Amino acid sequence: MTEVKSEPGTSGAENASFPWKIHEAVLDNGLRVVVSPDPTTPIAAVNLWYDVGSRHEPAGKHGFAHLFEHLMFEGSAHVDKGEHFEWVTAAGGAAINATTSPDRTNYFQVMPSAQLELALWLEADRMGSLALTQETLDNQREVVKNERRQRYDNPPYGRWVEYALALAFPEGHPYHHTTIGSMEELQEAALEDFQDFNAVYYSPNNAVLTVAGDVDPEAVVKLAEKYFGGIQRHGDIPPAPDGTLPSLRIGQTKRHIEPDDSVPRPMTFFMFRSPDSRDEDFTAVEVLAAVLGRGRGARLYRKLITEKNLAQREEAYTSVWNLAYGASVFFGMFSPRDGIEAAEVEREFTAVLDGLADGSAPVSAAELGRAKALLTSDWLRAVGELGGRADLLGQYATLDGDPKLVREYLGRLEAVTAEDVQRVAALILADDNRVIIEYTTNATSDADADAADDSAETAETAETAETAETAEETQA
Amino acid sequence: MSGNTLVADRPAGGAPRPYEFPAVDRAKLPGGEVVSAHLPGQRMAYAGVLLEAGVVREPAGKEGVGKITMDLLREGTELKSGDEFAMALESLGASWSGSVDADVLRVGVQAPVDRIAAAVALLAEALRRPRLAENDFDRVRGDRVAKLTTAWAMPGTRANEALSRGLYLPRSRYSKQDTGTVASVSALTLQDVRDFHAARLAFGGTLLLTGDLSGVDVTGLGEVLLGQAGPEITAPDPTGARDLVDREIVVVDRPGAVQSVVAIAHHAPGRDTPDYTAIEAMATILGGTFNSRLNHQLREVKGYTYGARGGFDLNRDGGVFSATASVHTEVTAAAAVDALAEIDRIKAGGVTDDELASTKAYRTGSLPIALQTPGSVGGALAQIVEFGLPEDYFTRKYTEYTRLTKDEVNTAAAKRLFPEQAVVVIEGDAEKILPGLTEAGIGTVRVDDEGQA
Repeated sequence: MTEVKSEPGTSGAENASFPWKIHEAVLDNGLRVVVSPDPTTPIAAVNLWYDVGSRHEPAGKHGFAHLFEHLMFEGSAHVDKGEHFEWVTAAGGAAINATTSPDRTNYFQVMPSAQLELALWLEADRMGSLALTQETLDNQREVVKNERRQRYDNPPYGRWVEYALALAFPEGHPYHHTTIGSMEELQEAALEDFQDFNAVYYSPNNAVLTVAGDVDPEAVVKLAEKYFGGIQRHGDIPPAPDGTLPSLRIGQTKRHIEPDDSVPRPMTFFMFRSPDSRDEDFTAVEVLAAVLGRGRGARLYRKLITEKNLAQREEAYTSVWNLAYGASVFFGMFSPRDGIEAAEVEREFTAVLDGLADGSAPVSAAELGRAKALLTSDWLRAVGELGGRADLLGQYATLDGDPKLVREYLGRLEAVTAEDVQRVAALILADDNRVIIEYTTNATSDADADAADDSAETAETAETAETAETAEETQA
Repeated sequence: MSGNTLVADRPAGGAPRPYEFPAVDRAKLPGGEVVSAHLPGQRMAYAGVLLEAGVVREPAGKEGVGKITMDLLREGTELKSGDEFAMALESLGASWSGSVDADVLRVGVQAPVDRIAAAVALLAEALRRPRLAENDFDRVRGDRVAKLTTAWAMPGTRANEALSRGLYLPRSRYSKQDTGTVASVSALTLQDVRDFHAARLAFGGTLLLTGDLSGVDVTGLGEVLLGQAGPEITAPDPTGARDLVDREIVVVDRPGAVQSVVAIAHHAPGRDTPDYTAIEAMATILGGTFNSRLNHQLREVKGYTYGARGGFDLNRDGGVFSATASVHTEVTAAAAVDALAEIDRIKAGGVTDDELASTKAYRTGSLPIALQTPGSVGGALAQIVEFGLPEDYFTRKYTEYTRLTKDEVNTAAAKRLFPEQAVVVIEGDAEKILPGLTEAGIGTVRVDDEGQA
């Protein structure tokens, strides 16, 4: 009988970040179970985080973690190809999907609460008996290649993240390549690669099962034992490739000019390395992205649009990914208004960054309050529905070792000061920490095209792809 | 792993605990109506105004004026500059949203419920007393034109435009995209925006409100927002549907494309059609879920695409069926043949008992999953108002689905699908795909080069 660790009395209920109880258990095979009851609506979210992502992929096998995620829907001992979706749907479940990021892979669905058991059975069956066949591999390889075409190769600017990551992280670093992988390596993928991947990483002691919603915690843990308890632990999980960087900063400004007559207009993207999502400064980085670039009231909008009218309007001129190991990445982007040179906009753009980084234009109380208010609403939205709530619990349990850390978010956000924001700005926005990807079209000057030749070569040797792709889509 | 013990039998599960759509409150005020739904414990709130200002209300030649007017609402009011307005709104943690469809226009805000009153006051200020200044208009119009130019380069845009031209007569508003065209938007003037605002946005409307409203003065917010009543609403022009006699294969050239966008479409009835639920069930089976016939065949069996889907978009005065997929260039003709064959098959042979049972469970079971947030319940209220549905429409869906028979669904497939009279648009590398499409013998092939960025 697995012990369920429950919080005493009404603890948690007054917590603004997460006012629902959190129960935890660990099965004998190492599977961690997190349950957060809320009877408001007769539904329950079932979510599994596996502690494996594209950062674990060895050289030559890029894109395999994500292709494996596709294969998880292709059948197991008691479930045929496609039946995972079919049974969940036929039971009234929805929001079925899985995503692979550099850091992790998550699988999820929301069920009518009376059908919770079905989802547990399906997840356990594929954890314990995944059917890996040449036929499904060949089929899903084609699907993933079409996913790559649809998201990266066919749309204008689709490959900018590939170019940027390859320059922002050194060869061999887990974030040097993107999650989607390369066509060539996917083509070479063999069945044994996925059998090995399964044997090493898809083990109960490398996963967290989270259930949130209209459920009883003791009953969920009993059901977890019933369905997952017979799966054997595969052994210790090998350590992931080291994401540690000798220094946070890239060390220089790296510019890649991409002359591309198929894009409709010039566009410039920036990437900066930033403290990773487990760093205590990460919340300040999120605030920084909001102050600078999020929304109509952001500093970049007011400078580039209202004051100077130099660029196209955007909802987010800057944003940040939450990568957890070694460094995360902070982004910027703009497209010049017709008739304006990209170089002129870039000067103004970086002047705004510099003003914040060097302290000459410090963050005002109003700017700080605006950013925090927007991030608070993001958080309330995320925990306001069960799928988001379960995913956050899985995230904190997997990356930080304790799901109850979900209670600290709004407190950490509230504690961020203007000085914190300026400190992280000085750390990450410096000109020795920039990757710039500049798309030019035939309308731009010859000088730019010359500069392009050098850096274009750098990019050709680059590997691939991108973070958090939604891998399976269920619904129109 | 060998040695694992797994439960072999699929759990049957129990009957779902009943779900009821939140009670809908309606309050009539001089300026219009407040329609609200209380969601206990939900700390975010949504407030939106639904106005009779859909694209069918745009004057001929002024296509896109609705969207640009909506954009300009945020660029300052009689009391605040655009920057000041944004700072005020975003400091509440509020986000702004706007959408426009054929029939209605909706602008709204989402904010923590303890700040929703302040957010509604700002929404009212922007909607009723916008600045509509010349320099802001020039900037926003320039931006819109650039966005349309960018969209033109994105896969699918040209296909959609060709589809609209295939389905509607040139004089019909429906023959052009909701956003307008580069030409129509470039020709707009500030006076056009002021006229559209005065006629459609300055008065009246319906306020939609969702969230934990226990501490919110709902009627008070209605008074702040709704003000005076708007003018009488007259019927819009007829839709101007083009008669489709034979299947037409329309190729839109996108040189160098590594994928083709395949889109099959034809006319459908309006939203008030009595067999709506049967159509919805049939469309779910054909193209609405991962296991739908289209996705199963084109993705899971053939590997042609990352995803294929199909469904109906029904407005007040008519609708459209469409099925779409982005497919690898080399398999374009084969994918079009397969997609058409799936539509033929369900029309002629109907659905299976298993498909129907599964779809009934999915459509009812997933309803509370889709209606967890203030924004999604706000969207549901908007549908109730836009189409005059009963307040308990979403709760009633359970009963409707329980009663739905296979005959009704098969009749919907037979009566509402017209693969022989469809427009099939294929946007891709014409040089590569034309021979295969001609050879496939699925209809007369022509190239549509009318579109322009």
